[in-house]
Amino acid sequence: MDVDVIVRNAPFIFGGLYLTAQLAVFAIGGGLVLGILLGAARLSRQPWLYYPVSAYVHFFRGLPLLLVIFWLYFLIPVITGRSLNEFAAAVIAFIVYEAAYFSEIVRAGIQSVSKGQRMAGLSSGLTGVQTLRHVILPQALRTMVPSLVTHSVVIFQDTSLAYVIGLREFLRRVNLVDAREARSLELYLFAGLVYFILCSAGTFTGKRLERKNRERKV
Amino acid sequence: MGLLNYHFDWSVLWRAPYGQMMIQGIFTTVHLSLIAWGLALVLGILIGVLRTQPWLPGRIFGAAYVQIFRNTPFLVHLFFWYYAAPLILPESGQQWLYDTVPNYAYWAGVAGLGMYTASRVAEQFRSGFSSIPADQYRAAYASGLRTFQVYRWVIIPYGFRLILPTITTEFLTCFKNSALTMTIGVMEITHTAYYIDSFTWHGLETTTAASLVYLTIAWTVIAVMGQVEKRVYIPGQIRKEG
Amino acid sequence: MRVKKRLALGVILFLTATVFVCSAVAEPILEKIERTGVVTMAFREGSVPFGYMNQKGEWIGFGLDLGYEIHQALEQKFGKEIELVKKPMNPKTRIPLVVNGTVDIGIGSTTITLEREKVIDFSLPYFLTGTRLLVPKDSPIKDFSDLAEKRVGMGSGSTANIKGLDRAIAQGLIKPECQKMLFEEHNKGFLALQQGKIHAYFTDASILAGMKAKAEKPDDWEIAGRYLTYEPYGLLLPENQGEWRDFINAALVQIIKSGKFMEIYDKWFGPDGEVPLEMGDEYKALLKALSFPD
Repeated sequence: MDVDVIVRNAPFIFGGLYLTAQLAVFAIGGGLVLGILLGAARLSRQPWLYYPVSAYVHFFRGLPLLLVIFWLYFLIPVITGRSLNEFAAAVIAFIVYEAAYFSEIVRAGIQSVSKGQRMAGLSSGLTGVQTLRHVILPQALRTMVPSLVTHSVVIFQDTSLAYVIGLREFLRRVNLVDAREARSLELYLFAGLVYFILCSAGTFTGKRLERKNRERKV
Repeated sequence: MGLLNYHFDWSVLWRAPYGQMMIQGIFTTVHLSLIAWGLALVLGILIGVLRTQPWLPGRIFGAAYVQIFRNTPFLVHLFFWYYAAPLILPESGQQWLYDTVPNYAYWAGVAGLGMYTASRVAEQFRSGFSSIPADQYRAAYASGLRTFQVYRWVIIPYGFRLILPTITTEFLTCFKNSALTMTIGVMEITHTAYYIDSFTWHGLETTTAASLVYLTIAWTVIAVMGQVEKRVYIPGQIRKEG
Repeated sequence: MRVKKRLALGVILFLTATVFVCSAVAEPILEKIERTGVVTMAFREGSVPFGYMNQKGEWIGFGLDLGYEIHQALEQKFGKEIELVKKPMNPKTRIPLVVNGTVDIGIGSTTITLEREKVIDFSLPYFLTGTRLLVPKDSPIKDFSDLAEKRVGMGSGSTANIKGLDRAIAQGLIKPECQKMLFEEHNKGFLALQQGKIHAYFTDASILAGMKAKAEKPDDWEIAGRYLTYEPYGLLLPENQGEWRDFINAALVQIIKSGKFMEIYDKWFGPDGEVPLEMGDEYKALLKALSFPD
């Protein structure tokens, strides 16, 4: 083992965490917003809303994320004639893809709120959208928190896929250093450890939020 | 540029030598995911059992396995198996490995994908096992079965039926994750689509075809498993909708 | 059943919507550069010494230095500061990047081929080398015929190389044929060679020289075999951008005539350079031919 290779390249490698974090923030934030809209739309009674959105969700859930990234980065420019920089391509790919997954969590969360709540909201004079916004979603979001956190950790890990289109995020930098220094064992164990610490922190926060929720409910 | 100026040439999908490559890519995706899935199921059930049985060291090992795998990206596992794992062997061992396993990247991919998916499968089984009423365990023990037999004949079959829908989802995740093996050089369908593009610049056609392959397989699996779920669902359980 | 039909309809609608995004007509690159004040160039990231990351994490190389000269020529032409945006490319991404218009020019180690000419344009050839093999010292592989049944690595986007080797196999030069292993970047191929995953790495001698020079112990490696193919390099340019190509070619000729080109060459390939590689007679003649009068 040669830990020195990590020390020597630490500034370069850790520099990539900034980009990893940026990607994750955009992907989780954007994915969540779009996911809530899609999740609500999937429970809509309007066929023009329900069917296209269901198709969207089934479409993206049937494709590998990697392929969606390729589509956005290499092929959409061929179609539109306009180029997309790799950061934008990665972020858009993450958002449209992860929104499909978030929407399923949101849908299940909304369904878990009892029907009586919706009726109470409607009968107190709120419109359907207002009921959703002020009555259903606040309750639903609370029950969704654990799944949302779990999936956010997954997205954080998925940002490593941006590697394929040349974004120099954390894992790509590890990879570049390895190609130069040929210290695969040390470098990949180290990469795993860094992800493990960060993701465990995320998972742990999720568990605490979950416990807090339960206490509040009781 | 723009789609209007783009000259479609769908023949890259079948004309020699690309047609053969596409078919081979589809096959590679399918058998790689299936072998990895088999590995994931066996390991996943084993770890799921370890996590719910009474022996403490087993429970700790199971929990550690799941924690490690769930908190690291799949890509890191793939790189680990491909680049790093052989280095644990002495040099002669490495040479032997590469000589006897000519398609090392493929098997590194299978190992990485299988073990990674196993951690997710294990979690499903654990939640399945723990949602089985304790009476089932007691009844099984009371009828004279030993721990192994209890799991083999009662808990695993029961748990399997309970978690079938989520297991289907995990299979699809495994199937889609197989695309990532292209980063270590496995010629599965995503890589093939990309590779043909570098010779022909008709990536639009090949990637469309690859996308359709994934969608067709995913939707077929969902439809078939929907039928299977209906058949094996346990009376009295609340059935999941849509 | 009805539900499924509607779902299918939804999918089709969604797909068509994605496909029929408006298409835009490309603006001449020189005008775009003048308007935006930005030029985007792609360089290699893992190809020593054309473009790579050094120990300090700096992005340097022969290609980058050439890019800086072109950047200077641009600033001179427009008489104002032009921002240079650098993007990474690898053997697989380089063509799509230029075709898409993501970058205005790609500067790496790309062989001019007639097939590539169909989708992109090339500048005049500015570099000349040929394909050989990198093997461990004392390897039984001395030439291409020794590759029989061995595992040979190459860049998965190095289509010129791959076709060259395929031709050699078809002509019966390597019998029984060798197993081709593809790598997205040459540096990963070299890693595989160091780890013993492959017996030899096959690509342009200029790149092999870079791999050897940057190895921990350069003396452990040998460049073997005679030139299997000749590889003239060109700069990657988008199609139908005549003015841009004229500008690049003129800048290239000026850089060669002013002696700046040899300066850069010596910095990287000279006897005291990063990757010592003697300039062959053919290459010298090529540069002479490129010294067009004003």
